[in-house]
Formats: sequence, C-alpha cells, structure tokens
Amino acid sequence: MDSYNAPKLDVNQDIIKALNDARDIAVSIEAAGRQIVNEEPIEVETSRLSEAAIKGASQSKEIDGAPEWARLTSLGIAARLERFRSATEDGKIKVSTLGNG
Amino acid sequence: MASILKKAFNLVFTEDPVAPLRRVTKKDRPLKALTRRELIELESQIGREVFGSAPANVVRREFFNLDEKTWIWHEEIKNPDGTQQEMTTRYEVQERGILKVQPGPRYTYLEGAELHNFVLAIKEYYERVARQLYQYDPSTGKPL
Repeated sequence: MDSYNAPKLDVNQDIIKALNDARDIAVSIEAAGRQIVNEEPIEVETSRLSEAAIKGASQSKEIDGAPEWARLTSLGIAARLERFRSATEDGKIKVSTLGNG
Repeated sequence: MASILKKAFNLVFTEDPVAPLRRVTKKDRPLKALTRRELIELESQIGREVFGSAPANVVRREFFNLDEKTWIWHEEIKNPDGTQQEMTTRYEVQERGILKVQPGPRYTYLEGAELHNFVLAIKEYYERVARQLYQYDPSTGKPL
C-alpha cells in the first residue's frame, strides 16, 4: 500500500512565535475578563503576558495588549477592594488596625 | 482639576495636608465599623510601603485606590532650603488604558516599563491590603 507523504511545510518560526504570543495574550485577557465577571480571585500569571506586550510595543499588534491588560487588572482589583470596603462597613469583615489597636 | 484633587484628599485625609495621617485605632471607634474614609486611610498606610522606605527628604507619601477608576500617588518633599514641595499624580483607568494626570495639567497614557510597574504596584497593593488589613488570602479569596 502506498504511504501518504504529507507536504513539507516551511513556515517561518518567527511567525509561529508571534502567533503563539498573540494567542497567549488573548487567552490571558479573556481569563482576566472571566475572573472579573465571575468574581474569581485575580491570578498572578501575567508576567509572561506583560513581557510579550512590552517587547512587542514598538513593532506589533501586541501594543494593544498591555493597556488592556492593565485596565482589566486595575478594574478587577478595584472591584475587590470595593467589596472589602463594603463588607467592612456592613460589619461583615473585622479589619486589623495595623497593630495600633 | 485642582478642586477634584482637593476634594479627593479632603474626603480621604485630614484638612491639613502637612499633618501626618492620623492612625486609626480600635479605641477610636470601639463599637462601630470603620468608615470608607478610614479604610482608605488604612489602605494608604500599606500602599505607601509598596515602594519601599521613603528617602529622608520625603515628608509624606500616600498611594491608594480612591475609587473604581482612580489611583492616587501623593508625595511631599522637603527641599534643602527648607521649603516644601508636593506632587499629586492621579492615574485614571480609561478605555484606552491608564491615563496619568499630573499638575500642569499634563496628561500621558502609561506605556512600556511605566505601565508594567504601575500594574505590579497595584497588584502588590491589593495583595498586601487583602492580607494585612482585610485578613483575606488574595489568591483564594478566602479568609485567612
């Protein structure tokens, strides 16, 4: 039986890397958005994303990833702080007074 | 612009900007929950430490989250001639990213290393405030 010979693909590795980086950014932003919507804890796994975004800031679409990542991170943190403050005002959380009480 | 900042500071801190922050203690309000203003004041006590020890000429430093879309950095510096200088920077979370607003006013969107450092700072702020003040584990979202 004749064996099937797959055509040889010759893809520029730089393109593959760029696509992978772009995918990672999209996945991370999507995950951050999902965490905010679902009120999940913020995960600290953005170092790779930020590196990729900053590295690509001068030469690729990744420049769009960094401000969006920062915006989503800030909104998520602010939302959590707001919940802490509201819960404390309502007496549901007893705060530490930083060792002064 | 100046009136907004003044309002924000008056809301959060004492009327006299030079006076050191009053340290809130349980003795101040033994039977009542802390107010939002007092909580932000306590958060800022932690927030100012995110950037390490302040140099000797820094009289006062504050860093805190004011509301959903605003972070405030404030620093007061004593010059060698005895005069005092203060600088307040507001970081606004906008659709396009993080807008830095400084006296002047000067407006710039954060980018590159500065944007990266801003995000690291607010994440560190959140982690420390969650643990030290609210007694919550920031990674699990559960009480410590």
